[in-house]
Amino acid sequence: MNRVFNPKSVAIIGATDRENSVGLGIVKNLDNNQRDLFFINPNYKNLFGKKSYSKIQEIESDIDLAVIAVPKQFVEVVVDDCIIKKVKGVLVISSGFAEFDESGRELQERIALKLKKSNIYFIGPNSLGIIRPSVNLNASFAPSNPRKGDIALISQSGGFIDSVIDSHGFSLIISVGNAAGITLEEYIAFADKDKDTKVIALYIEGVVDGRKFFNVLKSTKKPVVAIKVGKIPQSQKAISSHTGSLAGEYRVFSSVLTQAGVVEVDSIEEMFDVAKALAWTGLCGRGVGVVTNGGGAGILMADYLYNAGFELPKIKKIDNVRYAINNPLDIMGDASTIDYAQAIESVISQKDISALIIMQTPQMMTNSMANAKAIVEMSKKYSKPIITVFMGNVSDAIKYLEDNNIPNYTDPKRVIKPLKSILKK
Amino acid sequence: MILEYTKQEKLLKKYNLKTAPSFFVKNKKDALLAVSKMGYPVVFKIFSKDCLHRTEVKGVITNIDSLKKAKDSFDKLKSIKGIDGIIIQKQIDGVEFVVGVKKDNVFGPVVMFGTGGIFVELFNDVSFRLAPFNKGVALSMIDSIKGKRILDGFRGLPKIKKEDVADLLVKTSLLASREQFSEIDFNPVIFNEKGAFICDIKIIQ
Repeated sequence: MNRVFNPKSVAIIGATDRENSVGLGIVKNLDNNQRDLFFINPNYKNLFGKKSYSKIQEIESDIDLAVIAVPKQFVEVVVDDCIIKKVKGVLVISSGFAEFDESGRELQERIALKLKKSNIYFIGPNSLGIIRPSVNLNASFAPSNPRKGDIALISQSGGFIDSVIDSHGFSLIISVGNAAGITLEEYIAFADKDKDTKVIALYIEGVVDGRKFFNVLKSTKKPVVAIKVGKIPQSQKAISSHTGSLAGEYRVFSSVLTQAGVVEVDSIEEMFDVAKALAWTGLCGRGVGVVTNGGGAGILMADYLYNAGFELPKIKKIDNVRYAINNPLDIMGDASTIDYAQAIESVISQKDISALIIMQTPQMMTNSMANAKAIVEMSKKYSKPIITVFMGNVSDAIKYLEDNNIPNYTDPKRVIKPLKSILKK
Repeated sequence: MILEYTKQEKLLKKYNLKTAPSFFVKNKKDALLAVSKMGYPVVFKIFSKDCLHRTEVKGVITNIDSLKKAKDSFDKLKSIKGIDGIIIQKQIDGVEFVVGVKKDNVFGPVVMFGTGGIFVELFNDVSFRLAPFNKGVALSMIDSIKGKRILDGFRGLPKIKKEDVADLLVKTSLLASREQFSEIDFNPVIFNEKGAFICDIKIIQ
């Protein structure tokens, strides 16, 4: 499977230079001089200054991955060609299969069976594609190229991928489509073994084999965060017991995620809030220290922590007469970077504090970038999780923090779910 | 349709699931004999394969503590249409929980645990786990409901060993994963210092 996800040669069946076409989108995303590209389209002799083949069999060299973006009615024919050509994997972008109607389902099953018999990996159909920034592969018609990161996003919706692709760094993005060949569970297992992936994020609408899904999630070594959509109860057939009426489809699904140790989230924002904490920090206990230059923000944070069952251990003596010793430790609005560094060092080295939240409200005397740098330095010295709450318009400092794997949340409330997700069980 | 009374009892026995002492009777003589064997107070309830919610047909009488009450109660229940028999059960004090099983279309057998009694759907304080599972999973299942504080002896209620509850859940999960049925309700399951007692069984085929 690794070969398909890091192909040396790719054939694009349905390549075209027609504006606003899927075929052109795929060519643009794939064309980065990282691998051999071949264009297949019988309507062209040349494309983008290269030869255009009318069939994949005409290519002499081996093909690792064939990306198919032709109208549904031609898919089976070109899949047959791919089988003759003995490609390693086939990615079907085309739609109109099981997601569309019964004849589409039959066609999909027929294609899947053929490819299976020929030992060819089958991604899709109805897939946006696959993207693997670590090997500079973008075999998709996504609107842009994501930056490298450590989140593997596996999604049953292509549009979901499009909507988050620019906002985060990814190790792997897989649009599973109808998953007629490689299954959702196999993609999860693949991401678990991928060395650039630190956390797996799932967008799930439904699963076919519940037990397989549960078992793979239970066995993953990497943390998994998931959003399940489609929670509106379906009209159920006659239910006769209390258990039956309480065990709605979503409710059972949600319990399965819990039982498998998956962090379930209920918004896109929360998904990536949790993902970055899981990817970047270690585990923590209930005792949390808060250092802040804004009293009000600190109290707000403390309230959220208290409600979530976290503890704020007493801070032992700090050699500084400028401020009162409390937790949250309010180092005052005029706190300098040196004040931050001193406070952080004292609090984080305290035994009963297992994680540190460093807050910054942008005040007249605040030097955000210097503070961010000091925090990054400190994070290298101590293994305890550090989470920042840099509020206000300080995007450069936030970017610096996150580039150095310190998760930042601009609202103290958003700290809670990620913090819970890194809590030692 | 609900599984026959004797078959239900047999199935529970197979998995070592402890029920409240009960007799299944069809006439008054046997009813009174059962009462004398168990001692007061007792509960009488109708059993019918077609009746899913017997409180709705006034098919349950609790706190029967005299011969007169026993006789009257029997007559009252006997007059309800379509019953297969009457269950005479030792009245057990304690706190009421619910344990249930459902065969989910996607995930297969799922066990439910929560605060029980007739308000189970109202309080909606339940958790689910895929069956079968071990004691650790059972304990996490107990921990994830609000009603877990009841087990700690909330406001003078008897203190209940979580191990007893977990044990019952594990056994139920074994039954759930091995037997044929569509839904199961044990409601209520009464817990007290002596252990867990399944007081009402409804196995739907």
